[in-house]
Amino acid sequence: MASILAVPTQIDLSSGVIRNIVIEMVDMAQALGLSSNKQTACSTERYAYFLELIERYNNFDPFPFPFPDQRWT
Amino acid sequence: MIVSSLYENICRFINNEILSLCDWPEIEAIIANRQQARINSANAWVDILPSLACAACGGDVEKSIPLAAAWSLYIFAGRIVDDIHDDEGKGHLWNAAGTRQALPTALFVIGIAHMALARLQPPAQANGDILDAYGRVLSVAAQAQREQHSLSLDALSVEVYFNNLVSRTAMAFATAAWSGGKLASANPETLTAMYNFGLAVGIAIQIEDDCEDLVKSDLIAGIYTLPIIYGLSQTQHSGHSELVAHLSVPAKMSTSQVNTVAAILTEMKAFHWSRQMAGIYRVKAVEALAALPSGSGTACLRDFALGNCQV
Repeated sequence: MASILAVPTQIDLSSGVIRNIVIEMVDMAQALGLSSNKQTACSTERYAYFLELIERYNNFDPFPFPFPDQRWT
Repeated sequence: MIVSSLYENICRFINNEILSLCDWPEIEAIIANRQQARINSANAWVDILPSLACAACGGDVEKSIPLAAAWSLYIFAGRIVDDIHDDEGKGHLWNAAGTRQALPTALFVIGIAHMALARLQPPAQANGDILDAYGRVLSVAAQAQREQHSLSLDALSVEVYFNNLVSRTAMAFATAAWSGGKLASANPETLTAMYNFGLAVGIAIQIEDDCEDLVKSDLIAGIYTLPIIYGLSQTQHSGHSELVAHLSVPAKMSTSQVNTVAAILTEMKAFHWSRQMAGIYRVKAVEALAALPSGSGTACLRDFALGNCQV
């Protein structure tokens, strides 16, 4: 799936870009079963892509490396 | 590529090229202590991210050392400011005398991060873009840090949480990976790959951090993150009303309340679900690497994305 982001030869940190990332994350969370009040529908293409990612994640089962138990900062 | 030796090079650069100009022994001890704590941990991988990105894009890793040094110092400054804001980190050297010490330490660390960036080798235009990006990502993160602490439970939503996470963390990782790539390449496809890689890794790492911190500190501080949002969405679950009741009390939670909330969330599989979300973004980060040439740098980034952070 094509990136939703502008091509970052100069990085774009605008609120519009952040909003697009957030919308994608909410769609992903919904594909993973979270109920949300979000009104806009996720496109069929994007939804299929999320399901594919979820499937690839599930195929690891269990995930190969443990999650860190320390703050990254 | 040996992560610990790369991390040592970055520490050497900070200590010899930057700190030696500053003449503040107390800070030297604080930074040495932090370097020692991170060198044999997965966090060393976080600090060298710009260098790994540079290597993955075919660049000269030596030239990326000042960039990785700056990135690691910005992370440190962010940690100090976060601790000041959350009233945490009492046991750390930088906080030994409280805010009076922590605040100037944070400002100093930001200052020397700028000094590190100023030591980037040409090409000059790329360096200007990098300086601009680091300044902007810092300003975006600062705004999000402020907003995190002004959120009431009523205002909490998955959109608000993700917006805060992207602004505070994911954009910083995207900038770190992108800037490492920028030292090596002007190819838009390569830079987009690095940006997407950093973004996805940053999302995953912050969600995992939030899962870890929820019981340790966030619930008591009134900071509600993804497991809470998931729990609140489970309106049909038998523990839902009890969860809402605990979160709705305006006073600080007791340890017993924290344990009860954690038990409800565990029963709801809220931590499991949140970590799944993080894991999917780890897979997404690996996917972003497909646009890069294969090699040891790309292999290291893949390990980093999957959490295989051996040192």
